Amino acid sequence: MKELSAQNPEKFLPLTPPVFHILLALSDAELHGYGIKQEIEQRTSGQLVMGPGTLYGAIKRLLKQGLIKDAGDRSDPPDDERRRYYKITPLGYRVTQAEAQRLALLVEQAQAKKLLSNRQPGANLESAS
Amino acid sequence: MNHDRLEKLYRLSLLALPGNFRREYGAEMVLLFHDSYRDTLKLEGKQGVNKMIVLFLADVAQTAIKERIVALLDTPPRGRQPMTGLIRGFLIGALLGALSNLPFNQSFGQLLLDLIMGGVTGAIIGTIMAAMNIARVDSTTTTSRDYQLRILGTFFVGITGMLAGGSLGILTGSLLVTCLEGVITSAPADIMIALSCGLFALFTLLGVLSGAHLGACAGARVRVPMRQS
Repeated sequence: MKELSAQNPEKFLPLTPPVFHILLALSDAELHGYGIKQEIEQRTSGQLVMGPGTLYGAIKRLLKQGLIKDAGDRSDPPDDERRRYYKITPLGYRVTQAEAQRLALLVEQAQAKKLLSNRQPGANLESAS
Repeated sequence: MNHDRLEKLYRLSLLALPGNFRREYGAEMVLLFHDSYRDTLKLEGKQGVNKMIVLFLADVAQTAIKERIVALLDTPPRGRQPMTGLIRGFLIGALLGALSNLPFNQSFGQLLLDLIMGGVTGAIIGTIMAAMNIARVDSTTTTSRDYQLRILGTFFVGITGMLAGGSLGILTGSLLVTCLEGVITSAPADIMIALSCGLFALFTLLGVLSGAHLGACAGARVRVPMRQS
């Protein structure tokens, strides 16, 4: 069987939005479930709110694919509850980079079609109709 | 509702999740619920908490469906021997079949036909599930006899699951029809007949589908000895 780290990141693409956001959240920090949820909500200004089931369902699949791994349990102030922390693997990092590049390319293409501008979203639609 | 009651309600809703998923992540989900409740109450008050509860319960329902489908498609080969599953399933099916037949005076032939129809459908679904399961078996370490055993085991467990589910469906349908006849007495006869037939068919179908699911799950768990070829 191929080593996980030797796998081609392209084969995991495209990622679903929850999975991409979880990987983004873990790309620069080890976090527990609620930490991931909070980071995503803050970064997206509350536009992406993930329920516990969706979050842990995605975490389960990411662990299975070897894109993240368990970073162990530790206590977290202020309530000192033991929490399981997760961290991104080298493969997970490369997959996140590949997805970001794929999305950047899409944005470039949208810019070339003049779909992105400083106008309000939906303005182009109104002028087209 | 206060925090404790809401947490109890949330814990209860987690029972809808597949056992493995609940054991692995249930405690963390409750912890996350606890954290979210604390912060939402602080920032948004009781109205925010109510919204959060609705979102969390909907999330559990969605996750339960998703994870059950995943578990069904991705069940590792483990569990009882095929013959044990077959005998147990057959006995349950026969018992439920007999129970559904007794109070409503159905003919033996009609019951037999229902069971055979359910069995055939279950066998087809069971075989499809077996094929899907086999697709995951590593062909370098599995002999063709292992494949045959796995197909056969899943096929039989699929049939027995369908028999049990079909019988349960017939029983539920019959009970509802009887209740309906007792409640609605003034409706025209043809409407009553149509309603009765519809309910009976719906619950038989639901029973058959649940049985197929049960059979396919059990079939996918059939243990087959793996040997080096």
